[in-house]
Amino acid sequence: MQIRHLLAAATPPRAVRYLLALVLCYVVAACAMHGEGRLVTNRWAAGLGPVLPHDSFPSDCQICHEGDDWNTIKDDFTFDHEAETGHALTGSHRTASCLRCHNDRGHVDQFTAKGCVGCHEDVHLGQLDPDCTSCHDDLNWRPHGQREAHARTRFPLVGAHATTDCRRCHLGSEVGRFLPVDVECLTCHQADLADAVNPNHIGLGWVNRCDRCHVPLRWNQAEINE
Amino acid sequence: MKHQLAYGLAVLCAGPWLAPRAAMPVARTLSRTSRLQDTETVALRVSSVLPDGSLLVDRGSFDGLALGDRIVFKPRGGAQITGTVEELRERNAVVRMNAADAVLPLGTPGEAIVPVGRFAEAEAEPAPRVPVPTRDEEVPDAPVFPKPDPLSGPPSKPPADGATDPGADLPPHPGWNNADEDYAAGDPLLTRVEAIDPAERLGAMSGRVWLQADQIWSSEEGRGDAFYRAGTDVLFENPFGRGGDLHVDLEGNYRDAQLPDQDDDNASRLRVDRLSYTVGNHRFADDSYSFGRFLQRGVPEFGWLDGVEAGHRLENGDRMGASVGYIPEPDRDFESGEDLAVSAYYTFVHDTSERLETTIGYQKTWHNFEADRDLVVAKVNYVPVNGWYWHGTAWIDLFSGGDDFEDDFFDFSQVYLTTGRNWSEYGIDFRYQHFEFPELLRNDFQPVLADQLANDRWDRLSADVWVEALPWLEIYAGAGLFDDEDQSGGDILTGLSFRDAFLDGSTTRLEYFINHGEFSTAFGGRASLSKSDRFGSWELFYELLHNDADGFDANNDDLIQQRLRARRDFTTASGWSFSGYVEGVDFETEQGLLAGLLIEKSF
Repeated sequence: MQIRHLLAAATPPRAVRYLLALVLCYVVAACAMHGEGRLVTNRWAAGLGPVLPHDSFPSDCQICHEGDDWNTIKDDFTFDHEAETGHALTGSHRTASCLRCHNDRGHVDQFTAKGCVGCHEDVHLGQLDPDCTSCHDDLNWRPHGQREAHARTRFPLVGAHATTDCRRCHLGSEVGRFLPVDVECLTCHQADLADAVNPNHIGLGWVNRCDRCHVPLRWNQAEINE
Repeated sequence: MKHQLAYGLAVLCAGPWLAPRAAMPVARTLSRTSRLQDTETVALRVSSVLPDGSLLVDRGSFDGLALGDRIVFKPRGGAQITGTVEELRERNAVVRMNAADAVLPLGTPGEAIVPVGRFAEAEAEPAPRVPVPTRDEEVPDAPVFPKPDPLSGPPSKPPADGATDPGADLPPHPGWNNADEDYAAGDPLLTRVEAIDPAERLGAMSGRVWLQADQIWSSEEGRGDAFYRAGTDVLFENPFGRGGDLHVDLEGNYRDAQLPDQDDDNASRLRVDRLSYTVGNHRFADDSYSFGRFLQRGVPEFGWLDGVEAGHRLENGDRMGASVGYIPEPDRDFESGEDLAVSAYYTFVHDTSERLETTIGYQKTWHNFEADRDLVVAKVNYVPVNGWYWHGTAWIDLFSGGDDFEDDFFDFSQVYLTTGRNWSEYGIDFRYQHFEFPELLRNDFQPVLADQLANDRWDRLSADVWVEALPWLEIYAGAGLFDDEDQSGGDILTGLSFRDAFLDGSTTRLEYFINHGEFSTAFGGRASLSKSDRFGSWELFYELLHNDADGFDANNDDLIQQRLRARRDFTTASGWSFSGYVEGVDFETEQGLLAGLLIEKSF
């Protein structure tokens, strides 16, 4: 038992453990990357030829390429993806490296046919709309318009609820989990019930259906429901 | 200049339509689609502008051009500008513009109509194909001196004695060891793509670091909220030379929620969302292994895992796998160590395109070594080229005698089903969702009471449709119905979306909505103006809502709420992204102000 207590005392707090994990991770990665030319970003298949069929390209290579390695695209290279292919690139897709999608892993159509999850991991575990853009901005992946979307649920956000952060009700939202929440008031307002002592709600048995007396907009006032 | 270069790559993805591959010169291939009786159209591009104003085009005599041919250039805007071939080479030609002041950017497309007879000789002698060894075949060492190319004629005679040979002192070039892929003489150079084993790639690093701050101020005394986050998400590809991926996703955050008459809720956390290493899962490896903390690849519905997952792809494309480890609790702490899980799955694919696949998986969990959940996940995904797509997932809980509130052998805890179809000018989709709480020892949800376990459920059915009525007008509408253990209700949304109404490139939306919810009936309208530009996008938004609290006869059962929001997103070519918004909410005598900022650097 003493050993167990000693081990418990010697175990650092959780946050410290995570911090140590972070440092360890980067040390390992840095060691692995150490070495000249080992880690080169924005390249693919260097020295082994293009990964895109070039048979329909203009024969003047210098329209797009410069330098002597064929991996360097001209600084002023542009390509109107919508005009040339009929598929508009939106948000951060516009500035993504072409090879992120067009590479030797397979034809891009096969991935895009599956929708967002063809390329992006579904951190919502399949529990939300497969069309990510119904919530997310594809410029920086930040969600927008959630309060408007909430008006299509059984609990439109009104009053104080319209100025409440999502995570206050959806406890798993920080890790992408937005499961339905029971809309009974006590699901979130248990502490408010305990604090309601004038009159003593619990003593009087007023422990459910808060909306019989309270307009669910501003909790500090009550109206007598006739 | 930039726009000019865009023209130069006009055929990047149009190639498959324009240029069916064959053992023919490129221009010939392009021209096949436009043969007219005894002529053919040779498509070409401006590849250079010469000092005297004439143009160099990327087709020559090999492609069927001849001196004096008339070239029609088609720059953007619909104009047609003509020129004449003045100089001719094998692979390119100089074109003199008929209008001396004509200026065309690089990449401008054009065409020449030439007699088909110019190609008769080439068609009479199809190019022989070169045999290709398979990947598994050993490639013999190439000879030190390459054999003479039969297509280039007899080898040249050695230089006469005493003649100067500039290359005589150079060492002989070593032989080429790489075998030709499926290449035929006459194929354009560099058209074939050889996939590379990930272990042979150079290491690569990509990801992002970000800072985010969100703040809520309220006119109600003592109410407010602050949430600050910082994180990084980095993927190291092939970091150890074995073709694996190292994935790190970390977040640190601080929150301070101020509540009237209650203690503030403030805390800071450092959370590891992912720290995993994966090998395999590519075309050269049928097996894959993941270690660490990661989202399960085979069945993401099983959630995150601290453990190991193995997968195997069969020859027919089916996949199977299993995993074992601890599953973190899906909340802000993401704590692990209490719930041990063992999972297995099998995915059937209709063909290698994977447009139709079905998955069945099973997960068994123990909470602190006490048997907890028996979960079956069934999925189907169907994404035809033209037709109705289907996505369906069901979480089916199996129950035994150890469950107190479940009498059935199994229950559908969650169901998500969506189907729809998009045509060019309209589309429709339907969604069905079902949810009820499963009986768990694990802290998978907020504390669930016995009554909720026994009775709570929620079903929702909705449909959405959009029609592009005019090139500048889209009409959209949606309707939904819900039914839970207490009430039923629904919502309707209809709107108009105008393009270029006030500003070029802008979108203006006008919406009307009504919702009959659990506690109130709300209806109102929204208006928004948004626009994307080369820096990012911006939006102005306004909403007016009338809320009628159900069951109240008092004078204050009606509430008028207004929301006004401005948002601006910036992004730069160097990978920086900035996003900020400010939103004001006014309801009766109270007001709220919400603001947020995100700074992100992608690399």
